[in-house]
Amino acid sequence: MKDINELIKKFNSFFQEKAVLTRKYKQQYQIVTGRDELLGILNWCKQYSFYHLANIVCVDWLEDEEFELVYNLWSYEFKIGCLVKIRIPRARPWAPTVFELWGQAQVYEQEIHEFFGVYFPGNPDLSSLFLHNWHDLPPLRKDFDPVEYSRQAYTVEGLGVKPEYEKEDNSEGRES
Amino acid sequence: MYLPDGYTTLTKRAEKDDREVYDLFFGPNHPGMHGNFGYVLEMEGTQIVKVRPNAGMLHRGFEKSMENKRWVQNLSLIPRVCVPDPDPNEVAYCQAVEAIMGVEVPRRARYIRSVVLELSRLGSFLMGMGGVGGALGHYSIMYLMMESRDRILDLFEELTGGRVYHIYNIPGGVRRDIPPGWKQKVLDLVDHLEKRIPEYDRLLYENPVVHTRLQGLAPLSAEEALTSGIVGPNLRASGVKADVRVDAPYAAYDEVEVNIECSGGGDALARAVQVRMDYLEAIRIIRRLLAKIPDGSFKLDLGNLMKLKVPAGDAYSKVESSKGEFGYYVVSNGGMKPYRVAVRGPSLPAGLYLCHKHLPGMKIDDVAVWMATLAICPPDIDR
Amino acid sequence: MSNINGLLSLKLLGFSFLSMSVGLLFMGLGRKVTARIQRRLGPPFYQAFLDVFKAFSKSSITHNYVMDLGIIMSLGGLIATAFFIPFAGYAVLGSSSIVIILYLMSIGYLGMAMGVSASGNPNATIGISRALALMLGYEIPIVMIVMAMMLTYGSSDLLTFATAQQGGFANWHIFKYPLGFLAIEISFQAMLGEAPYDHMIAPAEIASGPMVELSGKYLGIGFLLHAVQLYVETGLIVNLFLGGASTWYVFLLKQFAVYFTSMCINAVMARYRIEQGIAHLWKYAGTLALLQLFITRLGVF
Repeated sequence: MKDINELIKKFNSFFQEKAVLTRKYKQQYQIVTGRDELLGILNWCKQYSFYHLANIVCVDWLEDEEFELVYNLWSYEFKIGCLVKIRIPRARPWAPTVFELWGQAQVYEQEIHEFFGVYFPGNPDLSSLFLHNWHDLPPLRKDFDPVEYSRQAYTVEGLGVKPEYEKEDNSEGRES
Repeated sequence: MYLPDGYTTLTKRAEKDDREVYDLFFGPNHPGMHGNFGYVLEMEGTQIVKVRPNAGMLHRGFEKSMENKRWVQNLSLIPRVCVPDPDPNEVAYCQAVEAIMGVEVPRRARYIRSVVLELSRLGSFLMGMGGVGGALGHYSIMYLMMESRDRILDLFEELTGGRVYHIYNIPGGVRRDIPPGWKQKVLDLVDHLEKRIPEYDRLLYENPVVHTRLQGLAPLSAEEALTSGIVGPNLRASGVKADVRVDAPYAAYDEVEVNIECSGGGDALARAVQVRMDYLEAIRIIRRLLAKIPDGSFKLDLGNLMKLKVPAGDAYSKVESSKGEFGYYVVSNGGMKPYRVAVRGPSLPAGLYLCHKHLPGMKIDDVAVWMATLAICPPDIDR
Repeated sequence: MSNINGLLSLKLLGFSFLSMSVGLLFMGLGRKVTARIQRRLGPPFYQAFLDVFKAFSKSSITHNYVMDLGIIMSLGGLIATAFFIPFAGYAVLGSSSIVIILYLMSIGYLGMAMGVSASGNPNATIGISRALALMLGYEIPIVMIVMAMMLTYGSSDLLTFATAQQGGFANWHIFKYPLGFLAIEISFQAMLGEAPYDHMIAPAEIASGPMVELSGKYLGIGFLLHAVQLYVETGLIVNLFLGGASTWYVFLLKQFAVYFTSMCINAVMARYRIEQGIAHLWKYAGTLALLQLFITRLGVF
């Protein structure tokens, strides 16, 4: 196994004060950075043996008015994991796409776009993946209330009748 | 009913001959599909031209509902994320909580967890290998393997009270100690399962028809597998020697020997053979674990678990499930409920991303086999 | 005149019931055999009868009249074939020309093709096109073997072939034409649609093919189709190779022996891809049949 400390030193000297690679616990490390440096850092990480992107997680920090994106990397060579975290403003959220580095990132970004409403400019397909005919708030946001949604969508009168916001554009694209 | 744009019914479209490409719904209701997942295959004759994953039928919103439940209540939701192999979910979640709290689980609990994980792996592998048989129209092997799996479930029932969903791991250890005599029963079962392997070989792995079907199907190079997020047996079948049990040991895997081997080759046959090799290794690991299992306490005293408070922080914990790395990213803001739980399922990259690379150009004959050899388990795509 | 016709139609009715019930009995027994190979208990041997009765008691969905016609035509074609198969040395129509049998047998599949393609489900269409493609694979070896026999006896009557084998095991064609028997065993597996040639009803691939749109009574007719097919094809092999029979129970036993072998192979085989299946049939069954034809021809001249 190669020397992890050397890797950390290399990283910190390369990115200076823009980002710092620190140890979290055991084999888990993390990098906290900003949106502008994200692509550069991920590129660097992939070059230095972080081949595996396990997933991309979005966390909604409602009080801070921010979304946190966590890119979950793993190096098969050094046998360490690395969480690359960025924060983006909650209003008009966007982040650069990384699908050119890891193919499966396309699906993760599509999922985050669907459940949090974060845009990934450059991603070829941000269409709806899991939700069909969804016109409410993205459901995994903290200010989306599933109970309130159910009350509106599934009323006794509403059995068989679609909620108000679905009605108008439902007929489109159905005739063959 | 959900239908893609431009559709009234399937029949209408098939009768219409003005387009050469027609759509075939492979799932959500199809004998070759496990779970309520589906692909819409755009076909030309029997050849697939394009594929559109049709996910969402099984989406139960677990990640959202976990935010509204207490730490321990979530344990009843978590096994449902992967139905055939539920224990890695519990262990990954509990380990993430323990990592945030910074507590160390007793040694006996770690050993019991490992044994449970390996038994669950055996059950899932049996289901997976049987699934390959089922997809190939070879039902005898499927029935034989289901019978073997039932014996494992019997042992789980004795240990945990549940056959399929065990809800056995809790933050700080396991729910109860192993009952007297259970250890011997596991050893007997493992002997029985090992004796059965030659039979599987004759029926499935040495069957010339199976070889003709699987050889060269859906090849996956090591480079492609690494950059597509493929993990576990599928990655090892492509020749990358990687296993979470060895690379980032959890539970008791740092104290027992885990020999991983790669079948190499990277095609469907290599993936099928890799599962058999891992199956044999899991049997050996159970023997090693049971020989070394220590005495002592089986759980930490964390007070009333319903009132468990986890300090603010985040952790990613992963476990080698039967399909590869199964991870939970857990964020806590110091409350009685998790702030965010994100699931990393091993099937998502293969099921939603790799399908665009592999399926076009393939014949309809091979779709179910492709799914079975890549061990795509829809519940963890649609969690 | 009318009296004779009345008797004949009664006989024909009896024969169609015989062929259906023998087929259904075999189907039930076959499920039992498969279950025992898979270490299961299996359903009772009369399960196939229950299935058919249940299917016929249900309401069913039809897509158009072509579907109704196609299914009826299929069943009719197969039952007509059954009339030409000598049952224990007795041909109900007096004739048992193998040419007519081979000709009528394909009506079963053609009717099925017509019926299920009218339903418009792509799964069904793929299934039936596979069945027709596979027909190319197995009919060639069968025709070659039949030609070999016709060359030997100078007749195309199945009953002649059967009676020629009387008088002990040594006269059976299975020993006289061993290569031909092997070829027809391989083809038989494909004719019945059992593994490794169960392409037509591949559940994991095309959701059971032609059956996917059949509901209620149509499914019942589908079961009957398979039953009659079973009777016809086992009967054909018994008459061609296993020496026919003079008593009905010996004939049934021989038929079941043929089906039993087929079920045993079915239980331990996976399914080929369709092009592999046809290639396999031509390569092995075709070569064996051609060799047999060649050897027989050398013997004649």
